[in-house]
Amino acid sequence: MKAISIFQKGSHQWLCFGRDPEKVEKIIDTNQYMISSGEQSIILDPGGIELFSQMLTSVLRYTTLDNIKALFASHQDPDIISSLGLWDQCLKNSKLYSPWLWESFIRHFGMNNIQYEPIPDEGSEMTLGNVTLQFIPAHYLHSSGNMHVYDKEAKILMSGDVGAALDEITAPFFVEDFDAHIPKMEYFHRRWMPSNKAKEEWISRVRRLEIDIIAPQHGGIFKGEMVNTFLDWFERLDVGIAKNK
Amino acid sequence: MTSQSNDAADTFISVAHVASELFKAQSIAEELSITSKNARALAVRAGSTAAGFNEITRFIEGLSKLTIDAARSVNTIAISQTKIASDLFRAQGFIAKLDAVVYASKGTETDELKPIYDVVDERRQRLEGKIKVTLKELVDRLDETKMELRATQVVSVVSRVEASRAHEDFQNSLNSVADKVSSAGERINTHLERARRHLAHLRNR
Repeated sequence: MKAISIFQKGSHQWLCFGRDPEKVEKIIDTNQYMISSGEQSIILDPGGIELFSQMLTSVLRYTTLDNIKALFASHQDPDIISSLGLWDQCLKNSKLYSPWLWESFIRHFGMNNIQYEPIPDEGSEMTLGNVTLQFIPAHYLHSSGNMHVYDKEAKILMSGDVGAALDEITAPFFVEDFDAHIPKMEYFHRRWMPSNKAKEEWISRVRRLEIDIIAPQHGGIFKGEMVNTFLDWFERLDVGIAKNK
Repeated sequence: MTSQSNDAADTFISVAHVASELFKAQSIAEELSITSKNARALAVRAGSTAAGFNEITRFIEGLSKLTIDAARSVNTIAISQTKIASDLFRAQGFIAKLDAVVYASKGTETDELKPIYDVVDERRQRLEGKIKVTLKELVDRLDETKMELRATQVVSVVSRVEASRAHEDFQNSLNSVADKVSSAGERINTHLERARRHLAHLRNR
């Protein structure tokens, strides 16, 4: 599994893990993020059970198990958090931050040691080392209880499935050519995102934040001018296209 | 949770630690490789008085390559071992659940579970066997690397001797190369030691 640093200022760092060449072919590639500040780290959307071993090995290159104070699951999907039962064996005194809506579902993945910290619908905050992380509501994008993570100091929004693309394993970590990137994400957004109303509310909320990087859970990361290009594109996109007949 | 499951969890955690120590050793070896290239350029500039040093740089480069190769191969073994251990953890967990079903059914209506139990139990035994084999492979590879890296201290001493023969304008720089080699060797060894300690308690089972 590859790892890159997408932000660093002193001990405050964002790492992205992904583009795993050893991934089983039919499993979707995912980006996992780890934020560290001081002696504390949080793993955002730690991933599925199938890539746990690569993820654990990669994470330990940069932090210790004792320093992993929390996990965050943007929603309940298996590619986000089905590894929970294995992380639960490794982490002591750690918390899982996730939407309150999913607590009784996510516990099915196995959770004896980690403590569930339900995030209310309106979002909340947590302190990690010397930084404050905000949980930003993103309900119905695509899950009915969905949160994103905003780091005001790093100006990074971890956007879960918003901005996700089905990229090649060899693709660069950052989106370089937006037009070429559209076909990799258009159907995903139109089919997976159920509500134009939810999308518009989210865009309006996110436009009020100062963002240098939008970091999705699949595919390329949007940086600099790509951030607004993506928001403009998403604003124009008609989502929720599936028909029942 | 059974004690067997805890053992499997302990294995994937320990082996992941080993891979992380080797990753750190690899980063130091990459620095050493740059040191060696700089030293070679320095030896060329220092001319005939540092000819011996030029030879030493090739040896330093070899040590760095050895560590990088070892780190890569240990990493491959460790990832595969972590995967086997997490599969074993899941198989053991499944067997524990089946045991609970058999217990709850008081021995009735569990005949059709028997073949499933046997398949998973066979898989469990195979995974346990694989873990033993790869664990040995991992320990052997670490010991082999550690043995080969003993040469760094010799290289460092010889480098100082060669530095003393070079023109005085270059002596400080060449001594600094010797310091770097010695420090890199020590740091790599520390990581190998730590990796070895993570494996020690697993092997004692």
